[in-house]
Amino acid sequence: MAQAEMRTISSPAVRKRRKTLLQVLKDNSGFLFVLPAVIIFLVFGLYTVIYSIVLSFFRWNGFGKFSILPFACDPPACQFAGLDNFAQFLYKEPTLSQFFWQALEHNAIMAVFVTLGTIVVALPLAIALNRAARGQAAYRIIIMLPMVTAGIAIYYVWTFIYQPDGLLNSVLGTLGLNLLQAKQGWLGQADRALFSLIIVMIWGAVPMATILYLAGLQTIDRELYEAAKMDGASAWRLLWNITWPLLFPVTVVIVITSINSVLQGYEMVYLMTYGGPAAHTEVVGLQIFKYGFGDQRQLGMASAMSWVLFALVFVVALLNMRIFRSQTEA
Amino acid sequence: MTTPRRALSKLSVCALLPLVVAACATPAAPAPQATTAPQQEATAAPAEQSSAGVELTMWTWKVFHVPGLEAIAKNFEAETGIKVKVSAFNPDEVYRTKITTSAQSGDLPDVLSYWSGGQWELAATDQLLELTDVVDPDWKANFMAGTYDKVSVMPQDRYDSCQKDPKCTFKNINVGQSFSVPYLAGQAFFVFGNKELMKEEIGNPEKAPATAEEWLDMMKTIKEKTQKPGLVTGVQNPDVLHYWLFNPLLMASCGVETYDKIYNGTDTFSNECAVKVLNWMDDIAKNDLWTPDILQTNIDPADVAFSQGKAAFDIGGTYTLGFLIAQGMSPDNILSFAIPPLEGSKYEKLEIGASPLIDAMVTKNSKHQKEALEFIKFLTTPEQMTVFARATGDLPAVKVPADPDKVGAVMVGLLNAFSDKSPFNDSKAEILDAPGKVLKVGLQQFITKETTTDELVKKIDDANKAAWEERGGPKQ
Amino acid sequence: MDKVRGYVSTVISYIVLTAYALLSLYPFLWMVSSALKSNREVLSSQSLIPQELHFDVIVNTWNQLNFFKYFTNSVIISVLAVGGIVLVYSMAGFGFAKTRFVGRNLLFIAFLGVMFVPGVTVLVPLVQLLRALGMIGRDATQVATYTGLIMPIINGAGPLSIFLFRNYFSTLPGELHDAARVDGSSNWGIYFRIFLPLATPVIATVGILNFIGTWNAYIWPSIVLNNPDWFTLPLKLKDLDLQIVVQWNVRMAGSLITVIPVILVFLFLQRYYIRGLTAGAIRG
Repeated sequence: MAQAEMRTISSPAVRKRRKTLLQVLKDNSGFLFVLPAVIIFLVFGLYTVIYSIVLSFFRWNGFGKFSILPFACDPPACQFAGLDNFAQFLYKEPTLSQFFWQALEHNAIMAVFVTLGTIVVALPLAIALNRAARGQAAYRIIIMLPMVTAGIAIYYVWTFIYQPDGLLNSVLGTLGLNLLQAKQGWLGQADRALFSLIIVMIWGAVPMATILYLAGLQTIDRELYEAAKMDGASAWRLLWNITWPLLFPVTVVIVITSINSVLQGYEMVYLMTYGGPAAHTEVVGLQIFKYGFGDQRQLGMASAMSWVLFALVFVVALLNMRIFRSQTEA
Repeated sequence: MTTPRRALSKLSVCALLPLVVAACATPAAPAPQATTAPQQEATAAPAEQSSAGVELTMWTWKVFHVPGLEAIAKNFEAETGIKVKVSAFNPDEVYRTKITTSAQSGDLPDVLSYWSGGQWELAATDQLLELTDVVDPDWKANFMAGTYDKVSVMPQDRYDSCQKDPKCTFKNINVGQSFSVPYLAGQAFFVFGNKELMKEEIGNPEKAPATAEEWLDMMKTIKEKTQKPGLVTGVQNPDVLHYWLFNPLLMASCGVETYDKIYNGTDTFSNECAVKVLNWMDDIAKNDLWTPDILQTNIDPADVAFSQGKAAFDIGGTYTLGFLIAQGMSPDNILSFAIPPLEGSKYEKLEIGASPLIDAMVTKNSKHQKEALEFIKFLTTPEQMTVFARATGDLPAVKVPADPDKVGAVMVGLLNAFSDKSPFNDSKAEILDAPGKVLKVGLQQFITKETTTDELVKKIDDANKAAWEERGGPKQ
Repeated sequence: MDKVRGYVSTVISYIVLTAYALLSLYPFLWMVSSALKSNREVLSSQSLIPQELHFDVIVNTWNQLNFFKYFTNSVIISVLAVGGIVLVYSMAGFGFAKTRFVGRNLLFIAFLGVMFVPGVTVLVPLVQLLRALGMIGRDATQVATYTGLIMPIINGAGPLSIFLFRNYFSTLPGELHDAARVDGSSNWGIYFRIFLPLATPVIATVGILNFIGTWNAYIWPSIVLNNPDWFTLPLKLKDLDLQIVVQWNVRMAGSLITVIPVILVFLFLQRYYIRGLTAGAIRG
């Protein structure tokens, strides 16, 4: 109809363009819903992202001026460094690079064990919670509590728990597991400190994961289980063949957020061990924090390290999504 | 739609603030380049108006200093009518970042507290009022030896090493220039002994060990007889082993010249005098003389453990004694002595001096530089620092009377222990970041039994060499 | 047989739950008990039961904090930030889930990618930006300063919030949309009258997550705020460290006072919260 109309009009070209433009705008009007978010990002996000990328190619001590719009980098406080910032901690400077790779190794260990630990604790907890008809609300609230209270004060509480005469060793003693006690304190022993931090991280991540799993469990159709039971499947089979695959999307969300928070987090390490003993809990996030805010004042180096970390997190997240997709398609 | 509004708000801000054009400015107006050091300020400030009614701001990162600084501010107001508002932002990292961002937005306070020796980077970017000729001999006379002269005035050696270092950021500061005055000092080479433990096990509780070896033997004896470990201190903080124990022992063992050469890269840690110190520290660990959880013990918990009799000796800082007494330990039960040197050390006894920790400075973005200058002068008078010392229990960089009624008995003890002849006052050592870190980790690795002296010596020397190379060669 | 098995597994469930509940609760109880102890006892005793109750610590801390003043500041900032986040990102979530426009999926993925952008090094450019906008500095008003404080927080909450809202809205049946359209409603009408009211669960989820984050924020507010009268509770909390030696009982009392409002908000919203996560995160 529109086409027919157009042919009869004297200047079809103008008319046509206006009409389709209008149509295009109308078809895309949904964009208006996203516009506020886009504007906020353009104003408060984009500049900072670009700035941080550009900064990673400069050496800057944080004083004097370094800005992008208008561009300013006044020596000697600010100097162009090219790729030197990256080279320094990746391979060039022996001490820096050694500490960086060591920290990254700790990060990798943490990412793996925190993620596994969170899942291994949260899933049974969610299943138990799902079974507990009576008192579910109360248990749920208590189990979720660390989400709200976790913070500086709580990290300090954990350092007290980890003392040689602290709760953990006492409990192990009462259970007759004296062999497992950390006589030099859980955060003081080279072979236990990282592990002890991982426990606290799991403790902090379990509430959210449990709730996610619980929510997932509640969407699973009970009839699936009934049918499988009829066929004589064991509880273990039910878990492995029904629960786990159906909860897989939840697991992916947990894995991604867990890896992201482990790789970017530093507050806990900062407050509990400051990277010690003898650098056994040094992590990349803490190094970035020290370069950016510490007395060395190398903001360019901090930026460079952040972006290397970003690339890693991004790749890992993508891999996860890829695995997830292939799993769900299969 | 937002662009015009944004531009508008920007415009109005610029109109309101003719003084802070830099960021509003269109293409031009980068911050004034500080290639030639600033020379003429303060006194050149606009018209001589009455200062009354002016309100200054001062920042620090030590929250517990606030009451002491506020007490001084009150006295200042009574005398001049100028108000001073003191704010604290902590921890250190947040404070540093706050200063960085405030320098960007032109919001630095009138009076800034900063780590002594760290002021050069601020000065080099033209943020600070120059004090070179403002601090006259009378004012200078207020400061303890080894504070103002050593760290607040650019020394020749620091200047030289900066000129050589391609990455140095304060090449535009000349020898003799000054931008700040110290107001807080500290020193941490004291050992505290538990007399009760010493009396029963080694007979004489009043006898401080003359050498480090003797001290180690004392610890061993006490450990054998009581099962109590010998030594505690805040080892979790990586700086503690390095600055509180290693450095004083090294200084005594090698003497200031060799000490400087080792750190500055012209001598090495394989020098016998350094190896001896490392071996001694390794011996403490090998003989299990540290408290068991030493690596997760920070400074305060270490002092608590000592006050509860869990260790025979505690290495402490300026305010440790006050802390121990506050924990309920009787002063009669505490023997204090300076860290004893190793046998065959260059110095038989280590003289202890105060080293400056915090400097006060006037920022250029202050609208009341004259008044701010007046305040830091007032702040660093002995009378006002006495007030500060009493209120905070912390050690001023200004000479305060050693009078128990004015500053308390604990402070008097500290003051009397200081000597003007401490070799640290003459030291020109620069401890670089990378080797410093290797050393700190290495000293902890003695305790985790992951390294030996030989391995550590090689590692620090490699790191130190690389770090000085990077800076254009060792510091001569 | 089956009955026995069911009974046993229920008992096991309760044992697991109780054990973990204790683990969850212990640090919090420790905090409460420390707030009631003397400082020396905090450092020397591991017991949860104070030898002697020191209620004066909490009372003094409360007074020292000037609670209501800073509580009000914290509430204003948290409520505005959470309000902004919910409004802006529920719209965006709706846009991504229920409308069509060119580059929709690409834009969505771009937003998600921003989630992993590191936070440490963006502080300086943010302050430069706020300076250019007149939202920081001694001449900025409280309204401008709070705006400057809140907007980056809203921006930071973007990726996760958009993700949750979009997923939630995609689970709502398409018929809702079609029916409303037949009635002649525009997209805006559909969003405000039908979808937003249905989104209570996910609003609770996004709300509570960001409320906790904003309420506890420390570094960013200490950078932006200079005037002590405008401080938030966590910023005021540091002023309690007035002695050279850390007073653990005072710190714990302060933390307790600060965290209680969050716990109340949480208790109030948690019912919706769980439903929100069910819908928002699961059906991706």
